[in-house]
Amino acid sequence: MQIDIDALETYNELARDGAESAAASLSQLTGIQTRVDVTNVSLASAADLRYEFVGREFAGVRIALGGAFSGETVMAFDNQAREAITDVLAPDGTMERSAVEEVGNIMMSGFIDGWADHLDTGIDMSPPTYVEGSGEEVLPTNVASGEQLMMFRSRVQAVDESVDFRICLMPERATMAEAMEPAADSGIDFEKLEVFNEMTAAGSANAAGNISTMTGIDADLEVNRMSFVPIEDVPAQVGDERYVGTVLQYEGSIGGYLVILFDQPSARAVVDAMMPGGSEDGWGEMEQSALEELCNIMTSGFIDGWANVLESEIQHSPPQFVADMGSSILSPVVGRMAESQEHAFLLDSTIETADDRAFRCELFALPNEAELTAALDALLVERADQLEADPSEVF
Amino acid sequence: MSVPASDDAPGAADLSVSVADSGVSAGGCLRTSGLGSCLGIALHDPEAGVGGLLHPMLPFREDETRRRERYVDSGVERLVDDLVDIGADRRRLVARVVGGAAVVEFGWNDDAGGSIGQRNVAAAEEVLDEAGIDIVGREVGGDHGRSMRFDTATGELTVERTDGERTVL
Repeated sequence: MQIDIDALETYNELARDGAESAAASLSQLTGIQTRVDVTNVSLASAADLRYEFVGREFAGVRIALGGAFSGETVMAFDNQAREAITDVLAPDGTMERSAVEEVGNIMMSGFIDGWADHLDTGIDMSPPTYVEGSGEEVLPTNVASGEQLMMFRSRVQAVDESVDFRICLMPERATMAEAMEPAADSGIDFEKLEVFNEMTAAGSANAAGNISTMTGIDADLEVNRMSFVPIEDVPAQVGDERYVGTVLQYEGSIGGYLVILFDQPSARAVVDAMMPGGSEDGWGEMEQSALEELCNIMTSGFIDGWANVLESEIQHSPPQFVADMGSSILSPVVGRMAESQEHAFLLDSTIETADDRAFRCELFALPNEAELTAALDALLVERADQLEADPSEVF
Repeated sequence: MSVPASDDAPGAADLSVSVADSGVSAGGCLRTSGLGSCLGIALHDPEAGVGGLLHPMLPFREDETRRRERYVDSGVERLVDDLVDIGADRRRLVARVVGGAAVVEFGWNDDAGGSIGQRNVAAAEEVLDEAGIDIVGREVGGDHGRSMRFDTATGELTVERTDGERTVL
C-alpha cells in the first residue's frame, strides 16, 4: 500500500475540522466552551495505542462506519465531561446513558460530515454502542495485538481545561489504501513506514537499556508511536509540563532533531544515580554534563539503529542541556523545521518503570520529512525482512 | 484558526490561543503558553476595550500558501483586521510583545542572522513600526520559556517566566 503525503495532510485536516465540528456540537448541547487541543494521525501497535488510555475512566460511544469509508470510531468522554453532559441533559439522574449516546451520536455525525463531503459520498454510521470502562475497554474492538494500526486521534478540552474527550477513528486498511492512493509514483510505502516504526521501537528499547546500565533504574517499559502532525501542533503534543533533558541534531541520510525529556524527579533520579553525593538541588555544570552524557549514549542506541537499517551514516551533534516547559523547548525546534515543511513525522517513545511509573523519560524524534521520504524509498526490502526476522541482528 | 470574538463577562473562562493562531476579545482575557522562540503579540485599543493576541513562530511569510498566523508580518496584518471587525480603531492600537527566547542552544548549524527568537523580535519591531503601532511594553529575549495572560478590557498583560520571574506590562 502506498500512501500519498498530501492525502495524509488532507485527512489530518479533515480530522481537525471534524473535531472542531464535534466540539461545536457539544458546546451547543451543553453550553461548555471547548477547543481542539491536539489532532494527529498515528501509527502504533495495538498494545501501544491501548496504553494511552490505561488508568483513566471513560464513557462514550462506538460507531462503525460503512459504505465508501469503512472503519470504526470511538468518542470517549472523561468523567468530568460525562458529568457535564448528564448534568445538562439528564439532570434527574435517569437516562444518563441515553444522554451520552445521543450527544456522542450527534458529535460523531459532525465529525464524519467533512469526510463524506471530501469523498463526495455518504458514509453509513451504525447506531451508537454505549461503552464505559477504564481506558482500553473503550477502544475500537477490531484491534489485533501485534498489528500496527493507523488511527486519527483528536483531543478536545474545555477552555478552562475542566473536561476533555477523545475522538478516535480507525479506518480499515482497504479504505486507507483507496483513500490515500497516490496519483503519481510519489507516495510512501506503508509497509516501510511500519518497518521504520519498528526500528524506532527497537531504538527506544536500546535507549531504555542504556538508562538501566548507567543508572541502575530498571526502565523496562517502552511505548512507541509515530504521528503525522501539523508542524505548529508539535509543541502542544509535548505540553506545558516542566522538563529537564537535551536537544540535539542529526544529519546524514536522515536529518532532524532528537529531544530527550525527563520529568524533574526522573532527571534528578538519574543524576543522583550517576553522581552519588552530588548537590541536592539545582542543575550545576556537573549535573548538566552527567545528563548530557546519558543522553549521548541513549542517542547512539536510538539513531544507530536507523543508520544500520538504512545502511548509511547518521551523525549527531553533542546533546545540549535544556530545562523548561516542554512546549517552549520544542518551540525553536519546530520553528526551524517550519521554514521548510508544513507537517512533521513525530516519533514519540516513552520509557518508564512498569510497576509504579515513578520514572519517566520521553524521546521525541523529528526527522526532516523530505529526507525521511527519500530514505524510506531507498530502504531495501531485504533489510526490512532482516529486521522482521531478528531485530537484534540489526541493532 | 482564529478564536471567535468574545464579549465575555469578567470572570468568564480565558480564551486560549495556540501556536500559529490568533484570537480577539471585547473585554475577555486571552492567554497563551509555551512561548520559547515564538512571540506573543498583544494589540489593544484602550478606548474601545478590545484586544487581540497572536502567537507566531517565524518572522516573515515568503510563501502565500502558508498559514498567515504562523508569521509575524502576515499575522499582525490579520489580527489588526480582526480587531477592526470587532470595533477597534487601528490608529489607537498599541502593542505589547513577549517571548523570543533562546531556550535551546543548538550548538550545531547555528542560525545565520541570530536565533529564531531574536529574528522574531526584530520582525515584530519592524512590522509594528511600519503599521504605526507603538510598542508600549515588552518582555523579550533571554533563555527561558514564558506564559502570558492578556486582559483585553484593561490592556494589562501578565508574563510568567519559567525562572519564576513575573512581570506585568
